[in-house]
Amino acid sequence: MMPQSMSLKNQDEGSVSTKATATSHERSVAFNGRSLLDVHGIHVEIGGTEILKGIDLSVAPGEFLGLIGSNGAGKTTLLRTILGDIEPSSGTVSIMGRKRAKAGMVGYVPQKIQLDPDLPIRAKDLVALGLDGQRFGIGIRSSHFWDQVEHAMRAVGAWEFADRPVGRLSGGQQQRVLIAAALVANPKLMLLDEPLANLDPANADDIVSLLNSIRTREGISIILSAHDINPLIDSLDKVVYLASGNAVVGKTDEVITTEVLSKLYCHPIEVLHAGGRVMVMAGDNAHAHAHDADPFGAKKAED
Amino acid sequence: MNLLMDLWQVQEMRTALLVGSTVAIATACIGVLTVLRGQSFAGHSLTDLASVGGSAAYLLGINQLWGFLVASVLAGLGMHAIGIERIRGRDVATGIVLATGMGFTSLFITLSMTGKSGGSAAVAVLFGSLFAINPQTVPLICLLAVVSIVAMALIWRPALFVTVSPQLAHANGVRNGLINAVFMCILGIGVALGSISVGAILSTALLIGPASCGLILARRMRDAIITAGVLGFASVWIGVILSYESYHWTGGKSWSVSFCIVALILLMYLVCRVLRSLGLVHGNARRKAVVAHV
Repeated sequence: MMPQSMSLKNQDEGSVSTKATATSHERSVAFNGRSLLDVHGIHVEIGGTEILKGIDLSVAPGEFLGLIGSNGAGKTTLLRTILGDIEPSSGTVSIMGRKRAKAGMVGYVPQKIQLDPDLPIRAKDLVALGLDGQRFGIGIRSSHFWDQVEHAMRAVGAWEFADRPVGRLSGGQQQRVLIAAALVANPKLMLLDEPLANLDPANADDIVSLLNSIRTREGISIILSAHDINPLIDSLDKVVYLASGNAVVGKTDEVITTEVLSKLYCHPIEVLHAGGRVMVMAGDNAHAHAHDADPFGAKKAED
Repeated sequence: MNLLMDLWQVQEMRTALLVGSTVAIATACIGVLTVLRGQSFAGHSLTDLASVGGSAAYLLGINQLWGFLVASVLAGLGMHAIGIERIRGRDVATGIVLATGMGFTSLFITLSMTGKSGGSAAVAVLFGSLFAINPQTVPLICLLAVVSIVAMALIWRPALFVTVSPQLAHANGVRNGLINAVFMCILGIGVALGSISVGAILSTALLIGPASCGLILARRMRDAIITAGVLGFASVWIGVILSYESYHWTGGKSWSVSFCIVALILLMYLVCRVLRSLGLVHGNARRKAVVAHV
């Protein structure tokens, strides 16, 4: 069911994935010259509250990583720390050995972008900004420039609505345009913050298989955050499960287990498998020891 | 055509048309992005504070343009430092600061009225007159217009990117803070140019009116700017001629040139709104456009 080993070119990173189990994930970060992204022991405090309490993870080229957790678990904070937006109070982030990514190295698709429906900007104008929007001056856009824009938009199936005002596209179409805008600069790593939120299941599946084909074809690593792992379960190489600032990193079937998640949540958790889907639930009476009340509520971590 | 040739012979007409056209084009470029950024409010607040500088300059006997310019650029940077969203949120504090600005304006105007002959101080500062512009100021006005257009062109792509989505721009390496600060300076220059042409109170109309029309009529940024420029240019020319000719129809009490320009802008805006509600243009619902000040 799950692609345990990535496509051929990632064979030499295979060891990394295997090492990154729930119990030994801290070690997996160190001494890995080949990984694209190394996050080592980062703590992040915002307004006196500790949001991330020591996260370690590494991403190999072409790897597809799912950042799973409920609202407030710290998913966006982790992505923005990787992006260099947030300075960790301790710990390090390095992208291809650099502390701050070079322009174009990391593509980012932020969460919940509100595009004004009246914006006189066509979809392809937005993708074009993804390529040269940070530059000063008006700039003459060559035909080669527009070829790149077209290539990125075709890659995500957004070319057919390239000339429509971007603010008037549907949620799924806008998501494709935003992915194209992140993809157009040929990044090594793409970070997507909740790209599946607000999409219906069919559109969500389309976006996931799209991303899966992009990373296979272009060898781009992807970190995608989501509160539900199910649409991603067949595509992910690794899961980073976040709960109240702590994380477990590893392969899906190693992380999404009753034992590992109970330890992460410090609360009995039950993982159920049904029809190729997993359900993570607050544990039932069989697992509850001293706790008489269930602080999660009935189905807190139903994600 | 003969009428135009005759008018061109008059020195004041030439100055008025030259300054008006230059300012209309510069403010069109600035205005389109101002409307898109939802900063019509900031533009209007700047005019209140610009009038303090204008009236102080009048009192001190300096060229008013310098007063407008220094005050509105400083006010723009001040707004940027405090945070425009915060300013808008704290409407009581903002209202008091802006009202205090107008209070100072009235003080400076009263002082210049008692000190010098200038009973026209209030009219000059608040409502301006393209016919009363000192020809020696023209080169400075043109220079400022060119500076603002060049600066707009320089920051165009990042500024547009920040307008579309600040997060996305930031993720792509745009320095949002820098771009916003530079834009506020340019907006300050635009407000100063508008103030010297149609007066501090009315300059928002010149900045926002043609730009809103451009955004209603056009589908693309480039077209919106061109449309705004053409409409601004047209309203200035027709307004100037109308004001000049009204002398003959009204028995010597000509309509003020600022009124004519602003009334034309309002008219254009209304026509655009009607066209849109009839579905004849593609229908940009520019909620943020502030032409209420007209």
